[in-house]
Amino acid sequence: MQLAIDTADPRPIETQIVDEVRRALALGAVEPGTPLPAVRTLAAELRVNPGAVARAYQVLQEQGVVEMRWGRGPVVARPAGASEDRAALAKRVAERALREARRHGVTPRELAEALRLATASERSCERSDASSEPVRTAGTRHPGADHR
Amino acid sequence: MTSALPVRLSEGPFAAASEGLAKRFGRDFALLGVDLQVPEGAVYVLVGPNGAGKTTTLKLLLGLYTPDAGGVQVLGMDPRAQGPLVRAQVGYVPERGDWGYGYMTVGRLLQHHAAYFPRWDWAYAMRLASAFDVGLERRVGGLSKGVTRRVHLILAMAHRPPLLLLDEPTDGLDPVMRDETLGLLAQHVADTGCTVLISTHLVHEVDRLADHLGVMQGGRLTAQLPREVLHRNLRRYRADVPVDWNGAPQLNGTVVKRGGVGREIQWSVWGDEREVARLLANSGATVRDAAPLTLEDAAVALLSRKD
Amino acid sequence: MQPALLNPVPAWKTVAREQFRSVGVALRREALVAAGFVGVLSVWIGYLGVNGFSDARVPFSPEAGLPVVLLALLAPMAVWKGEDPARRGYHRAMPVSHGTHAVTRSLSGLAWTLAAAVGFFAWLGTASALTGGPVDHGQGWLWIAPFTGVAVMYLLGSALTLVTAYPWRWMGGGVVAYMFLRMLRMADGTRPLSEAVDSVIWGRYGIATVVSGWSPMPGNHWMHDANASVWLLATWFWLAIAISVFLYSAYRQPER
Repeated sequence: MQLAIDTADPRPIETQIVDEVRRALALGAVEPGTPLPAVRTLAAELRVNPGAVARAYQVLQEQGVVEMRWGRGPVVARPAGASEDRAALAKRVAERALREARRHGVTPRELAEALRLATASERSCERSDASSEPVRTAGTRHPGADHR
Repeated sequence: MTSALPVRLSEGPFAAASEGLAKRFGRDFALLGVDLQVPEGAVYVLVGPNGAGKTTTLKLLLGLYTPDAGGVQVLGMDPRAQGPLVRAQVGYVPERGDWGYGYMTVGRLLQHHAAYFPRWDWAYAMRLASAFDVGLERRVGGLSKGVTRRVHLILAMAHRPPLLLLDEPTDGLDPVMRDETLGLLAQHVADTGCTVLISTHLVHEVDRLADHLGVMQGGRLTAQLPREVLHRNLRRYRADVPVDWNGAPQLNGTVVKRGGVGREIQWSVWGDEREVARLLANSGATVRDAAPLTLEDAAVALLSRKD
Repeated sequence: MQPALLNPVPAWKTVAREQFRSVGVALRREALVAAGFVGVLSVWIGYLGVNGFSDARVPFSPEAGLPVVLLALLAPMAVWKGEDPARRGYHRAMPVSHGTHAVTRSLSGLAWTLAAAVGFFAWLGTASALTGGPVDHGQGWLWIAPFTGVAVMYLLGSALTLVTAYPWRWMGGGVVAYMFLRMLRMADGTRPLSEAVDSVIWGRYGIATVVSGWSPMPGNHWMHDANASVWLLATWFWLAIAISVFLYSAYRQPER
C-alpha cells in the first residue's frame, strides 16, 4: 500500500494520513484484512514524525477503519459500508471545492455550472481518445491543495 | 479576545529547557533572555535567520559555553555542573564542517567516537554508513561538505542518545540524500523515542518531521508552540474590503503578515478563527476564506512579522 | 528521566587509551618526516664512512639531543592539529570534563614526544657505535637533562597552543621580538630589558641550563660548567612554571 502526503498541503500530516487510508478503502484500493505498515516503517517511508503516524492510526482505530492487532501490527478493518464511505469522500471533495470557490469569489451556483460543463467536455474528450487514463491515481494531490 | 503569540509551552517534562538565557560575546549579545522548552519526545524545529542565536543556544545546552545570565537544563541536569553526563546523553551535529579529526579515516573517527560512548552500536553505525553511502576508508579531511555532514550524523546517532541536537543537519546535502536522511531520522525517532532539536534556517527541509516550532530572531525566542496549535490558530484570511476601509484596529498586535491586492486583503492573523473572522467582519470586511498555513509559510510569516 | 536510563559516561581508562592512540595517528605524518630525515642522515653518514672520511665518526653525547628538545616546543601544535585549539569544538563536545580531557591529550602527546627522544638517542647510540665515534663518559645525570628539557619545552608549547588559536604567530612574534631586542642592545639601546630576557634564557637558572645541564659560571657568562645542583634547581623551577601555565591553560574556559 502506497500512501502519499504533501507538505504543500496545509492540513496536518496525521489528517492527511487518515484521509489517504480512508480514501484508499473507499475506492476499493485496499481490502479488509490488508496489513498496514508499522508506525516506524510508514514514518520512515513518508519521512514524517512517527508521532503523527501513531496519532493517525489512533484516529483510524477510533473510526473503526483500522484494527490494531498485537504482534501483527495495524490491519484494515471491515469496510464500514463502502458506498456510504464513497459518498463521504465525495462530500469532502465537494466541501473543499466549495471552500476553494469561495476563496476565489465564485458562487456555488457558478461552481456547479462550471463542474457540469467541465464534466461534459471531459466526456467528449474521452470519447475521441479511447486510450485515456482513468482520472484517479493513487498518490495524486487532493484538489484544493493545488492552490494556495 | 485574540491573544499574543505563545512563547511558552504548557506540556512537560522538557528534555531541554532554558530560563532567561543570555550570552554575550565581547560587547555583542548573542542571546537575550531565551526560555527554550523542548518537550521530551518532541521533534522541535528551531528556525531563524543566520546569526539569530540558534547555534549559541545549542552550544549552551552542551555546556560548551557558560551563560552570562539564566540557566540551562538538559534532561533535568545542568550542563555546567554535569557537563560530561549531559554530553553523554546528546548526539550533536555541529554547524561547522571542520569538526572531527581530518587526518583520520572515517572508520578510525567512528572508532574514536565509539571509545567515548559506551552504548555505541557498531552494527547500527555500519548500517547508517551504508545507508548514507559513506566509505569508511576515506580520509575525513578530504570529504565534501555533504559527506562530512553524513559522517557527523552517524557520529550523533550511533550511540542512540536520548537527545539529538542537530545544527543545520541538512546543510550541504543533495535532495536525494536529504530525503534519505529524513527517512533515517524518522526511523531513529520511532525506534528510540528520542527528543530531537533541529536548528535550521530552511524549514521546508525538515518540515515533515517537526511537531514543535520555535522562532528565533536577534537573540530572542519570538514564538514557541506545538505544530497543531500553530495550524489551528495561525490562518490566512482572505476578505473583500470596502474602498474606504481603514483597517481593523482591534486586530492590532495579532496580524502576523499583511498582504493583498486592490480590495482583497490576505492577512495572516494569529488567534481563534471565529473571533478573528468576527473582528474582521466588524471592521467592514467580508471574510471569504480562512486557510491554515503550511509549516514553512507559517515560519516565514512569523519571521517577517512587522506588527 | 530516570538516571538508570541515562547513557553512561566512558571509563577514564578507555578515554586515556584512545587519546594515546589518536595522538599517535595525529603524529604519524610528523614521525614519518622525522624518520625520513634521520634516514637521509644515516645514508650520508654511511656514505662518509664507506669512503673513509675520519669525520664520519658520530659522537654520542647528551648535547646531541638539543634538536629534539627544540622540536618538543612545536610538538603540541601537531598534537592539537585538526581542531582550532583555543576553541576545540570537537574535543570539547565529548562526554568528559574539558580540563582533564585536554590534560589527557597533552600528556599522551608528551609520552609520544619522549618516546621520540628515546628513539633519537637509540639511533644516535647505534650510529656512534657503528662508526666508532667518541662516547661522552661525563656525569651520568647529564643524560637526564634532554628528557626533562623535552618535558619543560613540551608543556610550555602546550600552554601556548591551548591558550591561543594562533600559536605560530605568538612563537614567531616572540622570536622576532627577541631579535629586535638583541639589535637594540647592539645599538646600545634598551640594555636592562634585553638582559632580563637573556637571563631567562641563558642565565644561570635559565632555560638553556635546564635543557643542557650546563650552566654559566657566576661572574663569567662565557664559562659553562655542569653543576648538578644548579641544574636540578633550575629544572624544578622551570618544571613548576611549565606545569602551572599548562594546567591554567588546560582548565581555562574558552569563551567562543
